[in-house]
Amino acid sequence: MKKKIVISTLIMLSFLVMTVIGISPSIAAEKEFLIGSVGCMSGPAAMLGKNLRIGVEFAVEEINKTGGINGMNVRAIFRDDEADPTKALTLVRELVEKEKIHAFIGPTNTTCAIAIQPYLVAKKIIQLNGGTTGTVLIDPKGFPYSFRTHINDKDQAIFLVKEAIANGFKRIAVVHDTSALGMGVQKDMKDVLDSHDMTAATFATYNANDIDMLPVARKLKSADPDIILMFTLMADGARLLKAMERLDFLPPKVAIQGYAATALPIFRELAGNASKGVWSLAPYNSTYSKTDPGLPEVVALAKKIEAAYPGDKGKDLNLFTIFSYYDCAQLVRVGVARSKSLEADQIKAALESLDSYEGAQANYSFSSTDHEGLDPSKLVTVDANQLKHGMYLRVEK
Amino acid sequence: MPELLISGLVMGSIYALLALAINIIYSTTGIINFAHGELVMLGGMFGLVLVVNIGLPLVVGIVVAGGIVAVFAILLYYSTIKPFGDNLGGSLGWLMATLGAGIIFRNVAMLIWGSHPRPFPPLGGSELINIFGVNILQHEIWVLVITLLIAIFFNVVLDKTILGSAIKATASNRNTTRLMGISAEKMVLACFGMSGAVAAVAGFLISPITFAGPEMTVSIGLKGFGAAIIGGLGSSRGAFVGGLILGILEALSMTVVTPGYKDAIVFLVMILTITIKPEGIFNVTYEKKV
Amino acid sequence: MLDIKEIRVSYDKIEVIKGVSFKIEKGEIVVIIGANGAGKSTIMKTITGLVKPTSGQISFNNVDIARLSAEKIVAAGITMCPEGRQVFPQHTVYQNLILGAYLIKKNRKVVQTRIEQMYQLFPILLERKDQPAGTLSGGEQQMLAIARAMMINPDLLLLDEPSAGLAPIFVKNIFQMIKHLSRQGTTILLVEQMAKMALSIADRAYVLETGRIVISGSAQEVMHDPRVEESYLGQKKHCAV
Ligand SMILES: Nc1ncnc2c1ncn2[C@@H]1O[C@H](COP(=O)(O)OP(=O)(O)O)[C@@H](O)[C@H]1O
Ligand SMILES: [Mg+2]
Repeated sequence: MKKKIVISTLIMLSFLVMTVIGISPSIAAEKEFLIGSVGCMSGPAAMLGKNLRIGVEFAVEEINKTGGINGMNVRAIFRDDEADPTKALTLVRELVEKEKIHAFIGPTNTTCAIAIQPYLVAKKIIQLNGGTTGTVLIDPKGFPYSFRTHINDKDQAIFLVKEAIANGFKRIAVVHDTSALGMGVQKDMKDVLDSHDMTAATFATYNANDIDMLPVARKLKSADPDIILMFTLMADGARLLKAMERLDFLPPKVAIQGYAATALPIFRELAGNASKGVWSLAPYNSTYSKTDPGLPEVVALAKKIEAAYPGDKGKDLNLFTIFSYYDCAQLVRVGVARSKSLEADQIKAALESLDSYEGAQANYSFSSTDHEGLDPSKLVTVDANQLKHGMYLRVEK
Repeated sequence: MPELLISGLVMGSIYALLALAINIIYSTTGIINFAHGELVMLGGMFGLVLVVNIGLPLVVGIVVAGGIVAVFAILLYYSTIKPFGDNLGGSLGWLMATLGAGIIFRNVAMLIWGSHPRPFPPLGGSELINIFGVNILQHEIWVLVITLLIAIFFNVVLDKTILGSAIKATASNRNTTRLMGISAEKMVLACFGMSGAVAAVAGFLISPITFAGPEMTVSIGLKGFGAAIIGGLGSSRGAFVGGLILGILEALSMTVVTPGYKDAIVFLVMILTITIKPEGIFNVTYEKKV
Repeated sequence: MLDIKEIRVSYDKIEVIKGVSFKIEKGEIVVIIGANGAGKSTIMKTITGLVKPTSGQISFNNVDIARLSAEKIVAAGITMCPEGRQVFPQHTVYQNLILGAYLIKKNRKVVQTRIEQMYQLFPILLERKDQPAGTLSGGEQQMLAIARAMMINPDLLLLDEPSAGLAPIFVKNIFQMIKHLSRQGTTILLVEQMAKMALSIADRAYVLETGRIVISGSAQEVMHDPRVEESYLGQKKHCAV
């Protein structure tokens, strides 16, 4: 009897020791495919990390149900960088060196991405970027293992102007804040307008977080535009629409189209009645039309997310951002499956050969010179007040 | 032009509301409560819970939130100002402590309510009414009226009542005030309580305009201090006039100059006031003639 | 009425009152004289509760008040006219008087009659009643400070150097006023550098040197003590060589 207790204690102790000195992870590593994921999951930008986590979790669950990656079970490890670049780098180091991850998804802030990407190159880790917009982050020469599934700001700006011109609008007004992002958008839009020999009716600007939007609204109205393109942060944009409501200058008197954030349910709630008839944009696969319910797999996924985050719980989520991170995880699976390898160079080559891979958000194409999976041609105009399972209604203009 | 005046007046009233409560604390303790913007935010967030979630009538909500935020203000005094003793002019510990408390309030609010802003019901409904060809919300008239009433209330309390006299005496000489049998601590607590209650009212008035969220007062908080400085620290009349001047100045610079320079112009005026007329428009100190 | 036993007071661990005991009987004028920095004001502040003794007892009408707050001690009937007068400069003369009556503020009638009495006592205050106290002359401010301390009709009035910095006519005036208040029934503890004048109106006196009482007795005795004559009354017995 005593002997039994001694033996079982010994066994338990040895397990403990093995876990502590890290023997078990390396054993597990042979059976498990690890995806490391770092994003901002607390503080003001917590919803970014929430989208990331949900997207990756849904994908991992599905991948495991359908046999995993090359027979290996997939496990995702999440870390919160609180939007702090130093913290992000520390966490990525820990994931790579201690957890020995095979691929990385994230982060959710451009500054954090800038901090960690050189390290990922040095360690040869495949990175899928599903949500940050900085142009410099995607560069097949500088960052050979970084791929993006997200629509960046520049592509959105280009899309908005091209779409307006294609739909015959002549007097295009633009409103944006005076941040670096806002001023960058102005430049991108000017370039498109220049190439069509057009000039904007006005570029109305304000400081981010300004409360009183009436002067901006008046400036827009006095420019007498037939369409207003909005590149405005959440609350700023809502305040602007309310100011426009006061000047009685809303659709259908003038067309208004905003960038991706204006599609969010919380934006619509903030702006209230003033958001009626205001268009947004979204990647094609996450939309439906009166005649086309959307791709069956995508609709099924959207329904699953809707069921898991009903009503208010899903209010700060953005469906196509979740889709984007979902696609990141699926692309990791495809890259590994096609290359039958865990080597970053092999996976990279497999991803670069993808042409029009059908994702939940959009169809992605990569090449050895282009690691941006999306381009403006994948976007469509939507009416975000008409949601179906979180998917947006395409506007047929 | 009338539109411009109205948005200037409304924003100005908001700054004045902040400045009034900042002043009442300044007048007893001689310190500036840098967490005041966050107390206003708490007023807005509790308002959201009481009025939108629980469904209390707006007026009841204001009273309850006023009580809650007054308690928060008093706790703020015990945790960030009292530890630095009576001789507040001699140390700047309270400055860091109130700034820090503000950050803590904001972060805790984020943990509890999340970071995204939410709509808040305006007083008198969201129907626009047309006055002299300008569309305005009934709420905006309320903002002006209530701010004016609070300014008058403070003016009367400070200048015409014994309590006000005692509050001002506490500010000018604590020990001598105690020799009159007046508890300086009670006076200070009364002021923190009042400033908290006014912060809650401000939260209810501001939230429909800025939306209610943990960061709703980040950009306007500093302007409240500006209004107090321009008008003259410690003067309710000054706070009111300073707020309106600031609001109209902003509206003007947004329309006449470019929006990008708005904040720069406002802060320039603040700095000019501090250098040219440090006591503000309505100074409250008298020269000693012996 | 007031019985102080062996009090010790320190500022930041430096002891400035090193075991002082004395008594004041009802109706007396007691004066404490002593050089600058001897600890006179500290004793006054300790009695009124602004400073707390590290040890010792202060009993007032047989109640130990040494650990009470300043506010409670005022309510018990001790008021003080502090060193440097300390009127509220931005408040009007009238408001200063009202603040002096803060503890009885509910009884408006009494407050009004007290104010009238003070105006009778110090007619200049009536003339200046709506003027900010900061605009008054030093002598006027001293009268205001005394009137303010008299508003609740205290049992014991402490006066800390009321004559300091005043023109000679005012000084005389103030001492007359103190004598007058005493005759009307107020017990007075006076701290003074003007030793001669103070001793002339006092019943008893104590001499304080670096935190200790070194001489005590009736005003007459103290006035004729050679040490006092030499150091405080300026009548030198020996000429310097
Ligand atoms: N607040 C204080 N902190 C430290 N030391 C003090 C303080 N007040 C007085 N003292 C010191 O205590 C001693 C007695 O001062 P005080 O009672 O004011 O003397 P007096 O009134 O007799 O001139 C002096 O040495 C003085 O420097
Ligand atoms: Mg002294």
